[in-house]
Amino acid sequence: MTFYVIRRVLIGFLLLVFMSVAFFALTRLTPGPPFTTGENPRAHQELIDRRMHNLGLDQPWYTQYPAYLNALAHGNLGDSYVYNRPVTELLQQRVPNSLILLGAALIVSLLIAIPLGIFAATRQYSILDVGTSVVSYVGISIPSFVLGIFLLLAGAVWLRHLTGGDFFFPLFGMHKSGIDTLDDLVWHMVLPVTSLSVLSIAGFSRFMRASMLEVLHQDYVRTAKAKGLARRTVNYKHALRNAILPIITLVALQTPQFVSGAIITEGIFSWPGMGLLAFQATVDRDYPVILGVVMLVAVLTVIFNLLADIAYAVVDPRIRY
Amino acid sequence: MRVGTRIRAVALASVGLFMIAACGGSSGPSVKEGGTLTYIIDADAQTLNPFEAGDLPSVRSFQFMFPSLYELDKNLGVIPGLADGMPTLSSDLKTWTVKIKSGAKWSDGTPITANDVVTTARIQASPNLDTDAAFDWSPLTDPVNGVTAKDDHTVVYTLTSTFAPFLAVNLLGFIAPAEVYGKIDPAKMRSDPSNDHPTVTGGPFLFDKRVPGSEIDLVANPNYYAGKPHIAKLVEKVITDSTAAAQAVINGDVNWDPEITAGALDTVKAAAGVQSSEYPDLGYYDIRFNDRQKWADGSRNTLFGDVNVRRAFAYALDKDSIVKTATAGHGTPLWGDLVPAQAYYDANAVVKYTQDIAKAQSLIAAAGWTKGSDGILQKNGQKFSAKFYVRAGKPQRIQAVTIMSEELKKNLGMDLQVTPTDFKIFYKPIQAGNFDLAFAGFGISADPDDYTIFHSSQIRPENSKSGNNWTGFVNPDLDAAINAERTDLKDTADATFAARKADMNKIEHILGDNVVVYFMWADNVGMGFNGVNGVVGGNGGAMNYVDQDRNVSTFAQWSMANPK
Repeated sequence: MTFYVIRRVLIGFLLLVFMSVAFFALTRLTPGPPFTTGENPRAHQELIDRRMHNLGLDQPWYTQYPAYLNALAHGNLGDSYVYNRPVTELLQQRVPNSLILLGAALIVSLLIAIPLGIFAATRQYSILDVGTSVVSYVGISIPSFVLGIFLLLAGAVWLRHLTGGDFFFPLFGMHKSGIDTLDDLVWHMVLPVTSLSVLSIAGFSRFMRASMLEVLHQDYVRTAKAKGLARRTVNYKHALRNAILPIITLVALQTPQFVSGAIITEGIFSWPGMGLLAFQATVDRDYPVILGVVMLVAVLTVIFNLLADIAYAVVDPRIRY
Repeated sequence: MRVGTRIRAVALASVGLFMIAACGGSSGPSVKEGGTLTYIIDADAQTLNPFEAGDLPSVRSFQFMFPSLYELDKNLGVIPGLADGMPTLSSDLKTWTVKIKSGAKWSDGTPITANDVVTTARIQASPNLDTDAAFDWSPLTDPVNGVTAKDDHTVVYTLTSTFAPFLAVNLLGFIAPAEVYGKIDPAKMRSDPSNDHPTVTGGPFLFDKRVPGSEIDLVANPNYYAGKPHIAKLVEKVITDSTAAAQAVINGDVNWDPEITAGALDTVKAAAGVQSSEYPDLGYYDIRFNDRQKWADGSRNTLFGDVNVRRAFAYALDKDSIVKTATAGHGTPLWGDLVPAQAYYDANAVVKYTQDIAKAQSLIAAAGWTKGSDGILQKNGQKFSAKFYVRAGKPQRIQAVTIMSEELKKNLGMDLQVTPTDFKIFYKPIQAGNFDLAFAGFGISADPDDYTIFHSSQIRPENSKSGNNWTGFVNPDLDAAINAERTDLKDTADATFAARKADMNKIEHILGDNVVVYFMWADNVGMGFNGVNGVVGGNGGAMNYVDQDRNVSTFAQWSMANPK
């Protein structure tokens, strides 16, 4: 196991170097420079050219890359072209906000989706199973921006009118101005977490149902039933432990993807997280911030894959590395 | 008339506007002290250093913290801010003298002096200043010696030649403390650590704290030179979604939304308790033609180099209908580049083209274009086919271009392919002169100055590296009219206004008669207030003056209806 982990860490490190080359080249080769005179009739091209030169952006990407890699090796992600502050500082400000939102959404999703999937699988073709399937497909089909806007209007506007202003959820942000309490934070999280969770619940529950069904039809489960074990024991002691293995992988792989999914949700609910930062950086061609975010996601992907493999071994003692 | 009076009148006339009493004016027994005003910015401010603010959220954020020498009143007339009266001019009209109010102080208690004004101008004029903000001090004889402090309260600007827009273009901006910003190397201004927390300021509100990505908190400046603000605290809240922003002002969660999007404007206007206003913005959109005979790189003949083709384009379209459809009624159609908010705007001084398809077809025929078997115009083997560039992600513009493209194909046989293009690459072919037509937009100042956009010396890339005359249009009469508009300073305010108005009208006529560009519309901007007293609109309810660092002192006169 130890050797396996060391080998995976080394491979992951090489993978990250490769990805840094690919991402660096992609950002530099994307059409359009970070700075333009745009629609400002008083902007000076000379100033823009000088800035491009000072930042080395007038050089080919492969000439710029070694300096980037060197800085990266020293933990320096560069300075944002837009905010003119270290990218690490911006990420330190924004990543925790995103983690709070995404972590809560993931926990809520799993707490609902796994029982829902098991429930649907153990009662296959029942009305509840069909109902769960229909709701799941609807959940998967709703575009996140439509769901977000709907929840915003329903939870923060219509509910407010319906209750005469007595009960409603916040329209924006993660805190009310000047209030920094946990309950205020939780209150602000309700709508964005719901928005993120609905999509995940739909996907996770379908996957859980399929995985559970596959296991329930295996011989050892039939044997357990034939032995006269209680249905509850068969389902939750024997079947669930195997059925949940693919879910671990799915969660591990989807966690980094959550970051990109959060871009829209953070935008709708004005949540000051990494998604919003990444979106604006992409619009502005803020290369250091774009690279900082995608490299962070890449690192998370590598780490979570490794954790998934380790979790496999914990959940299933037959697995040996 | 005493000399001083005459000179003052001349200075006022340089922007063609008369001094009008300051607006707002909520003082009186009904004014309540205290409370928090929450203000929306649609993205986090990139910087709170005014020398670096090139984006709108940053300008909107710093405006509360820094005083201005001159401001715009509710009808965009220039009025003194920190300045003690209007500027005086020398007899040769090249030297401008500005007096500063005595007793004004920075937040650290030190007096605001002429040295602060001079230092601010010198930093802005410095060729080494590393910034995305656009400052143009080229009218000065010299970036250093062109602006000097005669004494603690007198600033003297020396210009190379007479420059009528100097007051409105150069003296309206912010003033920053020399003790802070004068010590920063202009070349390193962009990355100065204080950029996100200004330490010394002198506007109606002072920096308190910042929550990155969420809000910027300000508190009233008790020593503000125009009087302590009635409002105790101002929170600039980042709300990125336009639906949430509109609902927030309707609900009273925020008190001021400076830019309600067209889609939400009707809802906000209909909401009870919200003071809303819709008015034409200081900016315009147009169809920018390549008026050259060939692309700048010589690779192909242009399609719109012939004035008859451009006139055919204009006659083939029903502009009012297009604008109404594209903007859902929230745009003001234009036939010139002066917009209704500007004093020189004259809806009757422009050349209008009422839709006349028969006339359009005869003009296109006169230009030598005939329809081919596929229904597309052709001439000497060249098809009338081109990319119609428009910014991606701008639905109003894309819709307008799509309608125009369809109408021009149906009415004339022009094949103009709608080409939505990302902002970062949109201007590349246009600024290089290698395009046929594009839907462009410009933000403009209260005082019109067409120099960088239409003067032939500003043709890019041929004559200028930074000019914005992308059309390549050359006309000595137009150049002369633009030069006159920039230099016409007369003995009286009325005379200057009349002279400059004649110049402006001439410019508008030449632009329209030659269809140098095809003007489209000015956005009707929406602004909404909830729970704020003392907010007064200008002509037509226009609120241009309380946006983008144009009238700082008015914020001190507002009060909250229900201070908490």
